[in-house]
Amino acid sequence: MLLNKSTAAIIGLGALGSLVSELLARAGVNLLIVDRDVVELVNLQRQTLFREKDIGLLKAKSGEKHLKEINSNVKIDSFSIDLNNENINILKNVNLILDCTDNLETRFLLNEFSVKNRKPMIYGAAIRDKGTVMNIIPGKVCFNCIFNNTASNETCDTSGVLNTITSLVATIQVNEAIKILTKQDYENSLIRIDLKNNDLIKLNIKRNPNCNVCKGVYEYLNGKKDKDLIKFCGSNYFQFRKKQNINELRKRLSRIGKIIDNKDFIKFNNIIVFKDRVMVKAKNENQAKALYSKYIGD
Amino acid sequence: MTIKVFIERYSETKFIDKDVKNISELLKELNVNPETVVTARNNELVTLDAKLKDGDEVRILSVISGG
Repeated sequence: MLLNKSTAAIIGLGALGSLVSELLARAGVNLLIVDRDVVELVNLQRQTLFREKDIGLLKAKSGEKHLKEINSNVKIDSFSIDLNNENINILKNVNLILDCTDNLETRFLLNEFSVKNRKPMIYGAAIRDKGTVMNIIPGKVCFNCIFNNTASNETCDTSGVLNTITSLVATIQVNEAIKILTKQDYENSLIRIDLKNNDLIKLNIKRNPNCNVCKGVYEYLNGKKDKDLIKFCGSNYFQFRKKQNINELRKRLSRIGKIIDNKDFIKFNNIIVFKDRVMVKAKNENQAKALYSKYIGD
Repeated sequence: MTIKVFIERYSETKFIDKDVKNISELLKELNVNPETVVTARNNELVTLDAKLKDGDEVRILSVISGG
């Protein structure tokens, strides 16, 4: 009963978000799903929500369709946006946030939102054959207490990720989500899984007295740590965060080639233009910047 | 003093027989970039300034951000 009156936000519909959203939809939880990316062939090894026919579609839109097919009784709201400090208030009415993102920047932003608005959040992440889950509960240990000043030097591109570890992490995230939503006792440790040796360990965590977020300093929510150019994990897309005049670009680009027009974006070759950002498929950052300059401008 | 260290990245256990004051010094000794890891001392996640004593067991875990 508590589950079908709850709404959980799932941020990121990659490997974790795919399975987390499916399991929660099947359990009857209403969902708010957010993803900024499109489905690519390389995603299908682990992103169980998608099929070959979804390639090229927005993950949030395509995911919404599949989730409604799984359970038509749950409410699904989808957002094909790059979650940032200007739009994060779409999460203000959810009961729980599931962090299924692929980058630390969004995690720090979500953590600050969670702490400031006293919303529980479940951090999940995976790389290679390793995974981790941690509940972030208002008034207790926050993500920044543990991960302040850290950076990850491994990505899905450079190290890869097994679909078994992402499934296991997602399953534990959903298990914790159900406990939190149904007011049961939840995990207070950080869970670490290593499938190389099939180890699952629990590490004690405690509040960091020097944690700025716990003291009410919200640098990500205030936009002080925004990045204008980022590369998506496990994909060849680079994102430039800048407002765009889609009508003007539609006219200009259609003069030199074929464009695919969609309600949410226009696509020209390997470039997808949204009203507030541009995604460019390229081999590296320099090529992405060159394509951006050539077709979009400065 | 002896510190038992498990480095998860390489599934490797080492014994450090040197006087290292805290986690920060231990990571320096092991040539590990402190920005890319979190560290547990006797099964509790601790900050870089956490002190070490003989017999402590340390686990060095990579920061994971994939999803």
